[in-house]
Formats: sequence, C-alpha cells, structure tokens
Amino acid sequence: MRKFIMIVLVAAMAGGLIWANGTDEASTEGGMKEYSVFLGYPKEDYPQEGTILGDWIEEQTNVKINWEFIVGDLDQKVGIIAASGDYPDAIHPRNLSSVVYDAGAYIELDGLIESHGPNIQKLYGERLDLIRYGEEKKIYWFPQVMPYGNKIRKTGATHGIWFQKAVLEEYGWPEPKTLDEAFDLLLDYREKYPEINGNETIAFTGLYDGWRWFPVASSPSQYAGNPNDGGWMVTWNGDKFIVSHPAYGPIAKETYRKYNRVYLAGGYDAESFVMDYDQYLAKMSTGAVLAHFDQGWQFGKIQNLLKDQDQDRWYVCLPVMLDETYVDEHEGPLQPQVSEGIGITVDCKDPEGLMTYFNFLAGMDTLVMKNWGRKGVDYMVGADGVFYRTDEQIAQWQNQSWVDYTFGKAYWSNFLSADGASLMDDGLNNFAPANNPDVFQAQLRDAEIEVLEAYGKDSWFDFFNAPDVRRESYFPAWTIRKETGSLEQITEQKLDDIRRKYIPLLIMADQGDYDNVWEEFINEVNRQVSPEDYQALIDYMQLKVDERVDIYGGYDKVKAMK
Amino acid sequence: MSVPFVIHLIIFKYIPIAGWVMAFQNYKPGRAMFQQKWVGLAQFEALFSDPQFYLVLRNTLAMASIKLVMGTFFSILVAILIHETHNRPFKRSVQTISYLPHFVSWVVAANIVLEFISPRGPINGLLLRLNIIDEAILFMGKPRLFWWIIGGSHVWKTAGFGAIIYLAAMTGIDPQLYDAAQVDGAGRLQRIRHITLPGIQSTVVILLIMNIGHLLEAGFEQQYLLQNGLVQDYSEVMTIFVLKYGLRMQRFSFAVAAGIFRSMVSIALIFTANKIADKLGQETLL
Repeated sequence: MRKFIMIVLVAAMAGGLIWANGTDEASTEGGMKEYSVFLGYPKEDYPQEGTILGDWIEEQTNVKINWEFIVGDLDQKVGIIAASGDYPDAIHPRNLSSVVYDAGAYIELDGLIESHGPNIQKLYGERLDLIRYGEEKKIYWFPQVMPYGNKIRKTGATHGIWFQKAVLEEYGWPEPKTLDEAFDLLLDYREKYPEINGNETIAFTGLYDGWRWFPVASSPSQYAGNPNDGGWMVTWNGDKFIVSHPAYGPIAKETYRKYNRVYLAGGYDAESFVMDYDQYLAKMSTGAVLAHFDQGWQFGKIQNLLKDQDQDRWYVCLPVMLDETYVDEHEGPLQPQVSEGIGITVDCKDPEGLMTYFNFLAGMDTLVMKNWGRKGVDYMVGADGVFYRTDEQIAQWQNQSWVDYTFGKAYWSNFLSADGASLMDDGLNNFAPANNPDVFQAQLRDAEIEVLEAYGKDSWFDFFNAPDVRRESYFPAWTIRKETGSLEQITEQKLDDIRRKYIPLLIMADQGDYDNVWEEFINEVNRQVSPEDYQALIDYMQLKVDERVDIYGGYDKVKAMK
Repeated sequence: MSVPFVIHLIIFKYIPIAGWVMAFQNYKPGRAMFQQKWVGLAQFEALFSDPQFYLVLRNTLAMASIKLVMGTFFSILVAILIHETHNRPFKRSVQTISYLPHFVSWVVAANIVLEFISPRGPINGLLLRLNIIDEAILFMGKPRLFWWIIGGSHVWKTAGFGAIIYLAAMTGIDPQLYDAAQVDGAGRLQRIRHITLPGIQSTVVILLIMNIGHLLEAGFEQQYLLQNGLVQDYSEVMTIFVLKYGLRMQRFSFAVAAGIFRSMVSIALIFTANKIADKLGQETLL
C-alpha cells in the first residue's frame, strides 16, 4: 500500500513539473506561429472547430493564438500572474494594467510601433500620445477601443433616466426637463395604475448591487450636467478643468431629497437597496417598473425581452436635470480607456512577430471584417458605397451567441478595435453597423419607430445634447487609476463604503428627518476621512486631469476649441 | 502510511509560513522576496489603527459564535430526531432532504435566501396572512437582523450534513443500554437525556474545540453574497475586509498581516478551549 501511494505521489509531482514547464511560448509549429494571450474577460473556450473570423485571421497572418480567459476573481488572478514572474506573450488584465506594469512585466512598445506598426499609427493617429504611461511616458499597452478620426455618428443612448414607453405615451410624449417634472409624471401614473400585470407599480428605482451600482452612485453628476466621469464632476471654469465631487455637497443633497419625495409617496422601491443584480432584472422584466437610472448595457437583455413582449413596457432614455439651471451633457466625447489594455510581456520570445500580428488586427480590412463580416455574405455594399444588411443578415447578426462564438467576434473585441461611433475613411460608414442609419432603421421595431416619430428624432442619441469637444482633452476621469495601495485608493474605498450605507438611508428618510440624516452622513464622512486625506484625493484627480490635458496639448489648445 | 500526508502538510501548511515575511515588507509583485522594502510593523499599525477593523472584528466574532452555537445545537437536534425515528423510508428521506442544501453553492443558496425573505417572499406572505404584520418587512434592510439571517441560513444549509457525524457517534452507543433503560421504565426523553447525549458527549466536545479555532473565520461567500449597503455595519467580516482593503488594492502585505493576526488568535483560542475542556474533565484534543 505504501509503495502504491508513493508511486502515485511521485507520478503526480512529475506530472506537475511537466505541466509547469508546458506553458506556451512563441513557437513555430507546422509553419504556424503561436502566441499565448491572457484576457481578463470571461469568455467561452475558443471553439475546437475554429470561428469564421478566427480562421480568416489565421489564414492571413499565419498566427495562432492560445487563449486564456479569466475564471473567478480578476484582482486575485492578475495579482498571481504579476507575482509569478511567468507571463504569457501578451496580457490584457483589464483595469489592472498598472499592476502588471508595476511588476515590470510589460515591454515598451514605442520602437516596435515605429518599425512594425503602420496600421496602428494610422488607427490611433495623434491619440497615440494619450496612452503613454509611467514616468518615462512610453507606450505599454493598446486600449480596448480607440476612436478613429474626427467624424462621429451614434444612434444609441448611453445613460440617463429610462422611462417606460407606455408612460410617455399616456402623457402625450412629454420631455421632462427636471427631476421634479419627471417624478410628478411617474407618481401620477402610479396613482392611475397602482398595479401592472398583477404587480405593485414602482415609480422609480436603481441598481445597488456590488460594483454594478456605479451608474446610480454617479448620477448626481449627470443631473448637474456632466458626462460619465465616474461620479466626479470636471467643470470648465474658463481657463481650466476643475475636479470636484458632488456626493457630499448640495447637488447630491437635493438629488436624494427628490428621491426621498418619491419614497415618501410610496413610489420608490425600497427593496432595490437589498436586491442583487438578478433580482433587479427579474423585477424589471415584470413591466411594473416605470423608470430607473442606469447605463443601457446593464439591462439590455431585459430591454429586448420587454420589446419582444410588445406591451410597451420597454424603456426610452431621456436627459433629466436636477433643476432648470443645469444643461444636459450626459454624452461625453469618444475617448479611449487609456489606462488599460493589452501589452506584450518580457517573456515573449518574438515581440516583432506579435507586433506584426497586432498591426494586422489594426488594419482597416480587419476592422471591417470584425464588425461587418464578409462582404456579400454578412453585408452588402450599395451603389453609393454605403454598407447595408438584408433582413436575413440582420436577423443573423442579432443572434449574439452566433456573433460571439460562431463568427468569433468575442475573441478579438477587447483590444485594437475602433470605436463603433467613428466613421471610416469613406465618411459614409460606421465601424459599428448599428450606427449606420440604414441598418439602425432596419433593426427598429414598429413601436420604436412610433416613439422616434412622435418626438421627431432620428435616433435615441438625438435626445441628448452633443458632447462638449473640449472634454476630449482628458475624458473620462473614471479611467484615472489610483496607485495600488495608495492613500488615495484607500480614501476612495472608504468614501464608497460610507455612501453605500447612507444613500439608501437618505432616500428612505422619514418625513421631516431628511436634513438630520444628511448631517449624520457628513459627520460619518468627517469621522472616517480627514479633510487632508479628502483634499489629497481631489488634488490627485486634479493632477491627473491636468497631466492628460498636458499630453493632449495643454489648456491653451483646449481654450481655442470652442 | 502517514508519510504522504506529512509531506502534504509540510508543503501546503508549513512552507507557506515563510510568506509571513511579507507582513513586514511593502510587497510589490514581480520583485524577489528580499529585494522588497522592509517596513517593520507598519502593516500591523495600519491594521490596528483602522476604526473599521474593530467593527469587522466584532461582526466576525458575533457571527462565528452564532453560527457555532446554532449550528451545533441544530445538528445535534436533527441527529437525535433522526435517531429516534424508526420508520426507515421516512428516516432516509428526511436525512436526504435535510442535507441536500449542503451541496448547493452559496451563490445559488444566497439567491434562494434573498427570495425567501424578500417582501414578496413566502415568509412575508405567511406573516401577512396570519395578520401578524400589516405590511411586508424588508428583512434584508434591518441591520440588527443580519447576524440572525446568517445564523438561520447557516442552520438551513449545514444542520442536516452536520448531523451525520453525530448520528455516527450515536450508532456507536450500545443498544443494550436503551433496552435496560426501557425495562427500568425510562421514557423516550429520559433515554435521550441519560443515554444518547452522554454517548456523544466526547464527539461534541472535540468538534467544539476544533471549531473554536475557526471563530475568526465566520465565512466569506455567505456574507459577501447576502450583504448590502444598508446592513454593512453588521455584515462586514474579516475576510471581506481583507479582500476589499488588502487583495483588491494589491496590498498583499496588509492582507498577510491580517492573516497572521487571525492565526495567532485562532491558536490562542484553541489552547484556551482545550484547557477549559481539560479542567472540566472532558475529552481533549491535544
């Protein structure tokens, strides 16, 4: 018995050694170059039989990628990769790129871009400078998406208050400008229809589960006329951008006071504070939620489900402000998420080869293939050069799992992509098909056309003001990453924790008790975070915004823009 | 025979202790262990000077104690009830049903719990029907209830499985004792009180001593998945605190310092419990 166990043990250890040595490195096998890539995004394993896009890329480049995707907790996995010193050829650790950089795992890409990356230079243009990082201001990674050129065309809304179509229809297609107007409408509708599909009508709600609560947490800055800067307010004072946080001042106070009004009238869903994401979606799918503040992609599934049910319980996003003094600026300019991306590691044996591959991915033909598919099969080209899709092609491309895992888009969508709202060189076509007017129109359901016609708009994006171009110089502030383990990071986490407790308490305050709860909230902030620490956090954000503007070309250039 | 297990113990339990040096450094990934910056006791200072830490410690001890006491009590109760049942098919099915939740992952179990006690859930439905309450209670929004929700859901999930070990101990009791007691006119409760309970006493004590060492491990998934902003003052436990303020911020040294603290307290608790058991003339572990 002892012998048997020893044999098993020895075999297991030997197996472990072989396995440990078996990590992928740039190798040549049957003329194919192979590279290992870690992506911090969860995906299905790459299909054995290949994918349409993947086979096409392999054919053109003679490169095969061995994928590894995140399973479990990203922070933990990336921490282990960084500490192990044993890296795949390329790593995309999502928002933890700085961690991998700190470990010294990335190589500088400047020289390689110069020698092997003409397509990348063309795709990124002047914006190449924006992704410089560290003391040396070198390039270490390529972001997920990059705007291309300066021509933009968008059809979708990003975030705001989403109103049920049925509610808007009931009141003759109003455009509520302020929270008061919006809540009057919603409460009135709730009174008229206390139950929808057998469920109690909820006038207004939000999503508070874990990290997914960020749209709700940052909404006060949108109500005060700012795009998504991750809750920060970055305001132009005539000379420069000034960073502040609305959560501890009058803007947040008045916002939650208005929410409190809805709560006291019985229209705010108190359960939203304790629900998880699945429960939130389930509740919305009943059709009993009249409105909520969120980013569209968080409930995209349910939105489509509600549209399919044909009960007019799906949502239209409108810009609503705290009061008349604020001007809508929900939409920000297109900017890359410069603080994260895919980088080549020191363990890559053949960085030139991998850069050549990346360069291929950044090529216009590849980008068209990735977004539109095969010409004549997945899209058509009209006599005027405008791309369009037939009804069958549209149906095929609305099947997300087909697009992701049969066509294979999922595997190449997280790096070296062009922003879907950018126009191609021809000035006619968007990178993302849904932004091409023909495709957008063809995809609309009858009920959607009814809403757009009632409001006299061409697309959902048209409800919102055009972005302020000056913000291009720094936007978005939410990608500014505090150094890991730094005082700023700890301060921010503490503030976040306090708000998680007090935002619900504020909204659920008893009649007449609101100001007391607010005072308690501010006291708690002061108790846990000293004014110096808070100021240090603001100063850090200001410094980073200024730094970005500097790289962009300085405040003088920004001033001249409008 | 025990050699492989000793090797396993050395590799996975003793060698990692070398990592404790990280607690005295400001560890950054990617650098060799001895090229790191030494910071002395700064990590421990940061830990002990954080006001949140004491809140978290309180919650951890409270929830762990509640779970230990309720878990043990209900496991023994379930074991006795099953032991006293003589209808075999019924006994079997009760046993299977009671330990089934043990095999459900907390991710799923947490959703079941949340739905069960939600304002639209069966508990509120029942209370409303019986006119005990006028409107649905938001159980998950009451900070003071959180510990008991944790305790209750722990019992639901583990009591059946935990009963197995006590049932095994009960089968070791000589049936003649029961027969003799019956002849002497002892009722069912008296038999439980004077034969079954003393018969499993040593098992109970050993398990208690072992579990007391885990008092600072009140769990992770359970609290993490059930908590929300409203109850966070009562729901944050050591593991969540270390995840949020340690690992997520890549403050590995801080996390290790917290880990050392936990190990030290655990060792102290085990020895104390062992000593007490010894003093009371009970079976001991060491």
